[in-house]
Amino acid sequence: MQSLTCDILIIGGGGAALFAAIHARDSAPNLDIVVASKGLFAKSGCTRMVQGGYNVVLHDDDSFDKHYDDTIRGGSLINNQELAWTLVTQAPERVFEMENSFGCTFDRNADGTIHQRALAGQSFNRTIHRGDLTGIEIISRLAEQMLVRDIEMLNEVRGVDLLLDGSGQSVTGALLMDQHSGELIAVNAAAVLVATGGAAPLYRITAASLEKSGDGLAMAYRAGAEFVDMEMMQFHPTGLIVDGSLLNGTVLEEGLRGAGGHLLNADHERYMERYDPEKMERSTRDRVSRSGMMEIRAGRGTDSEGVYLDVRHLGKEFLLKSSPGMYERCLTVGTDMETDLIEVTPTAHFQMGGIRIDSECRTSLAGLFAAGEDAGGVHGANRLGGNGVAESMVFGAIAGESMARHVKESARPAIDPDRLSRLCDRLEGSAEITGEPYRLKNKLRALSWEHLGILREANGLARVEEELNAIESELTALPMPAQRGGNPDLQERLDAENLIDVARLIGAAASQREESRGSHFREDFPDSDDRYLVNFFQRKEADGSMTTESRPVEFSRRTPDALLGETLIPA
Amino acid sequence: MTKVTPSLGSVTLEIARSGSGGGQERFDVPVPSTHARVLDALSWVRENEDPSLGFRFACRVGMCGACAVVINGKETLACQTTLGEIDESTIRIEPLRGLPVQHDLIVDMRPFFSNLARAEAGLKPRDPQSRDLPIIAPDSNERTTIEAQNGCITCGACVSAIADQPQVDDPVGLAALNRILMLTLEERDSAGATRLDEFADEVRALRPQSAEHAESVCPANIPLASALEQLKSFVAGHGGDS
Repeated sequence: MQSLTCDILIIGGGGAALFAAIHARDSAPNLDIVVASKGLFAKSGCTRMVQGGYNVVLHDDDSFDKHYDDTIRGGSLINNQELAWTLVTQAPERVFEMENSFGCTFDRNADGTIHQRALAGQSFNRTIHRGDLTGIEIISRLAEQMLVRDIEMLNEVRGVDLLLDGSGQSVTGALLMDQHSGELIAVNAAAVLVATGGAAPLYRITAASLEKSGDGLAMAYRAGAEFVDMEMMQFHPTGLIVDGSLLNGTVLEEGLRGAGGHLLNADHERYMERYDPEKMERSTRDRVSRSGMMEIRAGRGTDSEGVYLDVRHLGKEFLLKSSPGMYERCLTVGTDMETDLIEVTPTAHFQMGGIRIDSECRTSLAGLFAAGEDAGGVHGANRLGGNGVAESMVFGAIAGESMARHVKESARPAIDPDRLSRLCDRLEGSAEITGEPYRLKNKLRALSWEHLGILREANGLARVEEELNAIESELTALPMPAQRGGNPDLQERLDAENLIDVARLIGAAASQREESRGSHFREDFPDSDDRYLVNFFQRKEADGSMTTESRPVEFSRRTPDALLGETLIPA
Repeated sequence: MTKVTPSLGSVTLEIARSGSGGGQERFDVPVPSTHARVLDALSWVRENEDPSLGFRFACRVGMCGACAVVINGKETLACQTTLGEIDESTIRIEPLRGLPVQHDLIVDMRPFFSNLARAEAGLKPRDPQSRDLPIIAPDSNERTTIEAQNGCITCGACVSAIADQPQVDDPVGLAALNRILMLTLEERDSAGATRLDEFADEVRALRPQSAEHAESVCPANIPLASALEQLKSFVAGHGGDS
C-alpha cells in the first residue's frame, strides 16, 4: 500500500471537482491539492454531456427572485431555500469567470451579446448555451485551466472508502485504488471533497455516463454522513431508444420539446393532453416522464417500450440550426428528424437527493465536503433543465474555497489504523476473475427500473428491500480476485456494491414519502399532501442500521402560499 | 441488458491484447441490432467471454473521446462506429498509436495531457476581474476561425494518426497546436502569439499531408489541415490569413 499526504483531496473528475480544484488553488496557492478521478479527468462524469445549458440571470428584465421562484416551484417547494438562493445568486459570478478567465464562449446574438433561451419551467429566457452540446465547451476549458495550474491528477484512480480519525467523527482522507496497477493508496488529507456524480446508472435505462456509480454517496454513507431527499431521482422524458446498444437512454435535449416538439404514443395521439392539457409537452420533466411511462404501462407504447418524439413539423432548417448535435445523433441510429418519428423512453438522468450540505458545502462530518450531484437539497423534488451544471459550477467553486479555509483553520487528524486495515484486508483475495458482477449489476439495474423508478408503490418498494439483500449477499459472497490491477470485473463489483447502498437510501425514503411530489410518484398515493412538506434525512448508525427521519422544510425565504401557481415556458 | 437478435448474424473481432501472451485474440460476437456499435461488441465480449478485457469508454455518445481506438487501421471512436459500416470480414481493434499501452485497448493519456500543459493551452486572461460579458461579434474573421477550430474532445486520434510520420523529436501534437491557434486569435487572451514561439520548428516540420490525414480521422471534424496552414503562416511572420 502506498501512503500519500496532502491538504485537500478531491474525488471526482467532472465539473464540480475541477472547479473546486481551481478555486482551492487560486484562493490558497501553497496548499497541496490532489484530484483523483475514476475515469480520465474531464472525460468521465456528466458535465461534458450537458446539452441544454446553464441558467443564469443576466438580463435587466430578469431577476434573482424570478429565477429563485422558478427553482423552488420546479422543486415542488421542498428545496433547501438557502442552497437554492446561493445557486441563483452565484450563478452569474461563475459565468463571468468562465467567459473572462477560462475562455469559454457561449452562443452570441448577432450583435455580440449573449444568447439566452428557456428550458421547461422557466419564466424567462435565461439559459446560456453553446448550441446543443454545451458541456464540451465548459469541461474543455476547465480541464485546460487544471493543466496550466499543474494541479496533481490521479487518473483512473477510484475512491474505495473514506478514512476517519479515531473518534469516527472526522473525515481525514480516503482509501483509493489505482485501477491499472491495483495498488491501494491511503491518502491523509485535512479536507476531502466527494464530487463523483450521482447514481443514475442504478437504473436499467439511464442517460448518465455509465462509469458513475454513486461512489461519493456510498462512501459518505458508509462513513456516517447525513443524507437528504434521496427519494428524488429525475427521469428525463426523452432518452433515445437504441435497441441492443449501450447508447440506449442517452438524452435528446429538452430544447426539442421547448421548441414545439410533440410526444405521441404508438397510436399517434398527443398523450400529454391527458396529463397536462395546458402545458402539454412543455410541462416539467417529472410530469412528462411519468406521462410517457403511464402510456407505455397502459400498452400504448411502441414495440421497444417507448413513445415517439415528433419534431418533423419544425423543419430541417430550424432543427439543424437549433439542435445540430441531436440531429446528427439521431442520424447515427437511422432516424432523420425531418422525416421520421424518434423513438424515445424516459431515462434515469439526475440525482436530486444527496449528502446534506450547508451553504459552504460542509457535510455533517468534519473534514468532508460535497458538491455537484453528490450533494442534496438544491433542487428539491425536481431539477429544472439548466440548473444542474450551474449547481456544479457554483458549489464546486464554493467547495474549493471552503476547503482552503478549513485547511488553514483545522489540523489534519491522524487516520484510524484499524479502519484502514479492515478496508484494505477486504480487498485481498486469490480468486479468478468470474464475470459475475456484470450479471448482478444488470439484475440490480432491472430491479431498480421496475420498482424504484418513475412509478412506485408500497409492495414494489418492500420487494426491493428483500431483493437488494439477496443481490448483496450474492455479491459479497464472491471471493476477491488475486489480480486487482487491470481488472474491470473488480471495478464492476465495487460499483455494484456502491449502487446497492444508494438504492437502499432511495428505497427507504421513497417508502416513507406516502404522497406524490415532483419526481417521486407513488401509485398508491398519487396526490401531493401538505403534510409532506418535509425533507427526509438519512444516515447509517453505529450499529449499521439506517435511520430515516422527516423534518419540516424551512421556508426561510418563501412560504408555500407565496409560490402558488406555476411557470410556463415562454412561447 | 441488451436484447440479442441472433438473426442479424455475427461479426468477428480481432482484439489486440496486452497480457502475458500479447498478440491478437479473436471473438465471434452476435450483432444485437443494426445500430450496434463496436463499443457494444467490446462490451459483449467483456460480459460474456472475457471479463478481463480492457477498453475505455464514458459518455457513449461521441462527446468524451475516451473510447478512441484504431479499427482496421483507422483511428475512430468505438461508440460512433456501427458494426454494419465495416466492410471487412474481421474487425481488427488496436489501441491508439504513439501512446504507451496500459491494458489491452487502453493507452496512457498522460503524455497527451502533458503536451496540452506544455503548450500552455489555457486562456491567460486579459481581464479576469471583469464582471461583464464581453461583446463577441460572431462574424469577425478571428471568431469565425476560432469557432471552426473549436470542439476538440482530446481523444488523441490525431496524435495516433501521424505517429509514424516525420516530425520533430517530442512533438507537442496537433491537438495542442490547434488550441494554440485558437488562443492566438482570442481577444480575451493576453499571451498573443508567444505560445507559438517554442513550437515553431514543429509547425515547420509538419507536412500538410500529415495534418490532412489527422483531419480525416478526427471524430470532431476539426479542420486540422487548415489549422496547420494558418500556423505555418504565423510562424513565417504573416500573422495568419485573417
